[in-house]
Amino acid sequence: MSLELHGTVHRGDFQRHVDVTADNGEVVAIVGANGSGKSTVIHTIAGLAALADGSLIVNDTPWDVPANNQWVSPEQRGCGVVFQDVRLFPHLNAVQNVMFGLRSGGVKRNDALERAMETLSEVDAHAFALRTPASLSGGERQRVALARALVMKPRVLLLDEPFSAVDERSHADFLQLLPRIVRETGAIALMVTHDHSDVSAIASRVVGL
Amino acid sequence: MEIIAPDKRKIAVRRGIVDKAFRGVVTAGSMISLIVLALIAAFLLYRGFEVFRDFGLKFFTSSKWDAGADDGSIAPSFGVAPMLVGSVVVATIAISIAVPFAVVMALFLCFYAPRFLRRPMTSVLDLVAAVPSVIYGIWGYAILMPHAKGWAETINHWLGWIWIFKVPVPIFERSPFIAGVLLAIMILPIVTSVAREVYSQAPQDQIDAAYGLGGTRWGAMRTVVLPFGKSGLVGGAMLGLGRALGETVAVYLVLNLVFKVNFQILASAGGSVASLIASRFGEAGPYELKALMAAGLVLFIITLIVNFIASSIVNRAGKSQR
Repeated sequence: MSLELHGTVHRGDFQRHVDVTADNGEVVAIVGANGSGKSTVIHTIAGLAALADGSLIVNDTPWDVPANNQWVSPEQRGCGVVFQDVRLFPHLNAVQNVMFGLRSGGVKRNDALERAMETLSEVDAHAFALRTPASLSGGERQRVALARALVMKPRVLLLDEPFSAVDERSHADFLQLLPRIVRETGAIALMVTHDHSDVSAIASRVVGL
Repeated sequence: MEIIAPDKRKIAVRRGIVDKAFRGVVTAGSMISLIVLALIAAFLLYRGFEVFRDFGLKFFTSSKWDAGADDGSIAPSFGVAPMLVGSVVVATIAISIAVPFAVVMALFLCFYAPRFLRRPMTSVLDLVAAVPSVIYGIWGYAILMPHAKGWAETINHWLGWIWIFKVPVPIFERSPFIAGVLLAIMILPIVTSVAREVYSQAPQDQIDAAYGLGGTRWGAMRTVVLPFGKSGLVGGAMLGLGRALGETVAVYLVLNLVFKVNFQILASAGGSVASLIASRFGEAGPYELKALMAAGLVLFIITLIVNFIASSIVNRAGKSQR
């Protein structure tokens, strides 16, 4: 499996040409200054923004090729996204947030609950499974957001500054956990980060914007 | 160690003349509407007080509405129980039908309708809300009732074993069901309009988050849009309910006013406080007029309560989304 993005990403008035390639089992770091389009790349791959031109091809399937009018909708792409601003659903508790993608995909409630609790345990967030986002700290929310993306066993894992609010110990744990999950599932992970130690610790490739 | 909280600071704000003038204008504006409301209530209470005093609680529980004889041989007797029950029954039917349709229409307009269709459909909906109720009444009587009669017969045929769908005599015209259907059509635009407004403000980043996690469009609606708009929708439904409770002419034309408490919605008997007032006002004597004023006050208070509940729910919704 491979991901190849060559084209112009845009959001509003912002436009930028980018070239991103990644193979399965790989963690690719996307680095760059503020406003350089890192989050827009994540949104484009997730299908939340369309390419202005060029192509996004994943595993030989064209996800977004404007010239040929080819487009795969977000829910069919099988991505898992951790957003920079987390975006947990405020009226659902942590475990319900994690169950969302599974339930949308037709997984039965009990199975979804079991898998969600397992994933919350993996990111050390099971203790606050029944709490709503408003009562969680920034780091705790990020753990839940990570669990919400990982539980789907996504083909493409998109992480927009996923560890910015977690404490040092958890940060170290996540740096071990993430490459392991990516290896085991054969997924592709693209991670936006400003932290150079993250890049050197887990990224096998770096894309600079 | 004892912790002593500091005294509350008093902050004095010195406002400019423009600020003061603007404050005066908006305060006066809001006070005028309150004063008008209070005057209406006071007028109704003043005119209806004698009836409340004479009949007490019986005015709310009795099913008899008799102006009595002019020579005093038959004493007048007034009670609004069937009309109160009728108002609630008809309004409940209207809300039960209108709200699901309003939700579907609002979701369609916000998220599914093609761009070229969105604006004209919204304009038509707003236009429909402005149609006078007498037009609805005539349309309801001439066009809707013959069709709705058939629906009522079908419901009675299949669900007649449920008590509220039974009819004592097989007459299906001018029933609370037909009045409820007509009212549902009348309040549909306002409920849809409120729902559309609320749904269009659903946070896009949350919707994106749902899509980014493999959620379908329906998944995003169910998880983000509907919960976000839930309280706003309740507020819209309450506004519709307020209109349904107070609707006069349309209900009067399609409902058979009978002074008997009736919960059987397909039977040709029912009532509403508003249509009672409309039907009796022209020929009422001085004392019956007072009774109608008292009935008006009851309707006024019910409508106020419904609106108060609506605004509390909308306020609570605003706070919970912050």
